Amino acid sequence: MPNSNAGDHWSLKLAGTVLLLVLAVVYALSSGASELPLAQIFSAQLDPSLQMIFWEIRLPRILVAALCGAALAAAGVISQGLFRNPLAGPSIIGTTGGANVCVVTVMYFGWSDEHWFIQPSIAFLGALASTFVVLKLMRWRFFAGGERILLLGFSLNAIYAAITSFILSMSLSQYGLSQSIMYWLLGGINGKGWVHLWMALPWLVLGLAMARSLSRQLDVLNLGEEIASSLSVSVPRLRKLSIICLSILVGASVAVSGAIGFVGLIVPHFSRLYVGAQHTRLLPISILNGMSLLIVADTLARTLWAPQELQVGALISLIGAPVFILLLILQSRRASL
Amino acid sequence: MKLFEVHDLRYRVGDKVLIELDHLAIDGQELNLVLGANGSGKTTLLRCLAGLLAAEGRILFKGKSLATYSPIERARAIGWVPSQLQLGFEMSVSELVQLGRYPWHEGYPRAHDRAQVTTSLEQLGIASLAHRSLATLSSGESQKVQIARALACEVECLILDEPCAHLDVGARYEMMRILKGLVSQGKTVLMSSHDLYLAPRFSSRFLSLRAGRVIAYQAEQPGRGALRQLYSIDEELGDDFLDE
Repeated sequence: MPNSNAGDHWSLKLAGTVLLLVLAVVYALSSGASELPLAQIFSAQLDPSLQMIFWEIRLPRILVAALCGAALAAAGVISQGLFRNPLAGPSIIGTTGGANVCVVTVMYFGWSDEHWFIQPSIAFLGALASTFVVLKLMRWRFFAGGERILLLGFSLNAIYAAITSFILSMSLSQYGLSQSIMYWLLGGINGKGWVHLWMALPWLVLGLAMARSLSRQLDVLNLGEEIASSLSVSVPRLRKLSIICLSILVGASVAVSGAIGFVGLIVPHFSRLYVGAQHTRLLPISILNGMSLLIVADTLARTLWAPQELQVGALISLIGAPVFILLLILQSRRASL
Repeated sequence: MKLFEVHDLRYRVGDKVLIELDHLAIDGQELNLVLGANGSGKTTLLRCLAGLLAAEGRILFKGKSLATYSPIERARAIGWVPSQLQLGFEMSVSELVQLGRYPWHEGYPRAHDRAQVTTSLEQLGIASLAHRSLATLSSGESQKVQIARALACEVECLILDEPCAHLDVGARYEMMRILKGLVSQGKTVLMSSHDLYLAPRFSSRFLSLRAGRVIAYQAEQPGRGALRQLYSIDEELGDDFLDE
């Protein structure tokens, strides 16, 4: 349970989290098949091949990991705040699944190669539609509140998985296509460079700016819709903007790194333990922790079984799934008290 | 001028009319107790007066239509306290009361807002709970925190839905004493309750509701006959009916 004094020593906690991110970046930069002498990175005497590895491979990959981590963690904060439920991560409630279906569809038809803008746009629309469906279905008493949202997310994710499997099976006759869909579905940052960074950056900046402006109202929503309304918050407007924000963040991340789950579930929950529930503080801390998590996880994915690279999405799921079960147990215990 | 004036108010869900009243005028600086059986429309009426439900008809607050108040104006004038607080995520008492200042600071609290939070906590005698988590509080303490949250917004009128519902007799007594104290400081309190023993002793106006209609709005506490009608009790009530 979050500490009631979790909001104290804010500057210290922020500094500690930034330090963690710096350490993650240093670890990622210095790990890999080629050893990079970090102290000489900006020196003209450094071997040109090492310079190329730094500027064209390692640095953009770390930045892409950081961006996707930030987007997924911020999406988790918004999603959990909107549904007032710590279990409502974007991959659990089906937002990520909806984006996946749309991206897999455009990949199958070859539309994603036509313009760089198509993949993030379609991922955004998929995430938007899926979150909208969740919110509409939650109006039904059956799905409202507590762990019922998991039933809803489970059902929607099953539908999205079925559609994705169907498209994947249709593509099996084309080896190259089916392999690229499979890689994409496992979620990974391998091979990502500056072009992917620029592709996601505008969406991400927009999404994070929206998240920041919504965080104050989400704090009030934590008291319940009725009290939030009585305190001048327009709940329908907040709901709509939160869905759009969530979809932009998930869409940007999914378009670049594929289906990486659990970041949006674990990171806000972990961050809440030491900064408390106020979104104005939870959001920046979660963004920093999301960056660190994905940078470290991606580094582990490329070094643990080198030269074989793992998909970072699969690695995070190995950690995320048990944590999710733990959260479920903790929530059930809390409800029974 | 009356604090609230209600004309031709009607609120319905589908075909069912939950509240229907032609005219009601509520005085300021009074402790108004809303009485009625379950389903009589107490909460619906209070929600309408708090501006939380869009009903047919006109509600005037200090002579001006409540519908024309901006959300911030309304929030700064009328505080709403539901019977139970259901937080999504745990927070401390001071964090929660600070959120009550939202209509003033809109998420950017300044020194004055922090001072107001401290004043509200002191007013309710719960300053020592400021750093406690809400989950660790008793029902009575939790209810006081809710009132402190509403007071932090410097509202003129407090509307409370069954504030004594989960309290023991001692906590109920303290709650009513606090509400009476607020009235003596110039606030108006409207509250619903099923407590026919303590709450009426502190109240100055009684609004009786039955099946969504106002039966009476008066200064005298409803007698046994009126209560029998209000709560659909067939038997005669003894002299000691209201003794606890």
